[in-house]
Amino acid sequence: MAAARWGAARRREQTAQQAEFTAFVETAAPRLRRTAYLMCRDWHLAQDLTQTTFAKMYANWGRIRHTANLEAYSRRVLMNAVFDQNKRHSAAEVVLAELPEGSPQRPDDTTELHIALLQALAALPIRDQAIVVLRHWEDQSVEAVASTLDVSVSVVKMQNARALTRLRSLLGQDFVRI
Amino acid sequence: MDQNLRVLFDRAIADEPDLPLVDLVDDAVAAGNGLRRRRQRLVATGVAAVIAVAAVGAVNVATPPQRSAPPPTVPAAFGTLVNRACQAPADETATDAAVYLAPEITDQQRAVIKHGLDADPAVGTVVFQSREEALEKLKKVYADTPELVDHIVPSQLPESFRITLVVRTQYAELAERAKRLSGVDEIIGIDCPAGTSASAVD
Repeated sequence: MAAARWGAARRREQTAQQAEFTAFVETAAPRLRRTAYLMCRDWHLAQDLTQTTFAKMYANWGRIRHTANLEAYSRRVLMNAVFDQNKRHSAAEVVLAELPEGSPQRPDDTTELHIALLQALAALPIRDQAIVVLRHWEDQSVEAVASTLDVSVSVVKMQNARALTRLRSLLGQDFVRI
Repeated sequence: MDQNLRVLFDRAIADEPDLPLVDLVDDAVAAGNGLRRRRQRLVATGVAAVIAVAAVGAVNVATPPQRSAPPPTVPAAFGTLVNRACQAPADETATDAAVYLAPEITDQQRAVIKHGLDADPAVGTVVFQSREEALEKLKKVYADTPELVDHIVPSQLPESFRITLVVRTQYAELAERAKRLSGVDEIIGIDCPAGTSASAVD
């Protein structure tokens, strides 16, 4: 009977882990998916990236479940999934949809500004996009962004400023209008 | 500027479609388990490959290369490689069991057996043990006398499912059911006292 109890305890532990994971997915999924969408501008791809993130986290759940900041960890895994996807994508398609220099595609009045923003964002290097999204959409501190992306604080500050300048020049005066 | 960005981002995600959250959990669990298994297999295969290369080198130097068929697998003997605190083979009651697969097992047979065990009410957990993992275990058990296992290659060892039982008195019935599955070579019960693990090397 003692052995049965031991087995039951182990099963209970597994059930508890499963429940924890489910709860984590439910709270974290909407946020991760939106962040992923801002990075890739495709809801289905965003869903896939989110799923990849959760799969990787589930594979390590026993180890990471007591990590102090699961949210930060999930952002990190997601961004790495985004970078991987981006690398595969650019390797497969030689020509990237890079906006040509000098013709910054200023949005006219008929273009919705948020669409123009996403387009302008897409023209930035992928890691700069990540900095902008983490800083200005997820409201992460410079330090948090630095740790998520594994770079120094000064790199985040510098590249964030550079990215914002670039966005401003791409969006022009309209940016101030809002 | 920051404020503007935030507002724009909010608007950009306003067209978020309704995507099911429920599937996310199930898919992540399935894919996550796959990742974990693949990682374990990679490690085991890597270790086995290094050992195999070393073994082939040793054989070539020491003896003329033998090209004859490898000796048959011996699951029953292997089944005794369990924690000494446990009793194996156990006939009536068992807390764990090893379901050894036939040497010529097909992928389909293996999948059917796995499914059968997963669905069996007497079975708690099911973990697949590859030939490479079996060799790794063997090496650990004989760490003190490596010459005994130096020349064993993974293909000489059987694959198995290591299972735990929900209630130990259900073992005899489970063994009967498992033996009937096509591709199962042998099932060996392992009866462990509370608080001990069936594995000899964990």
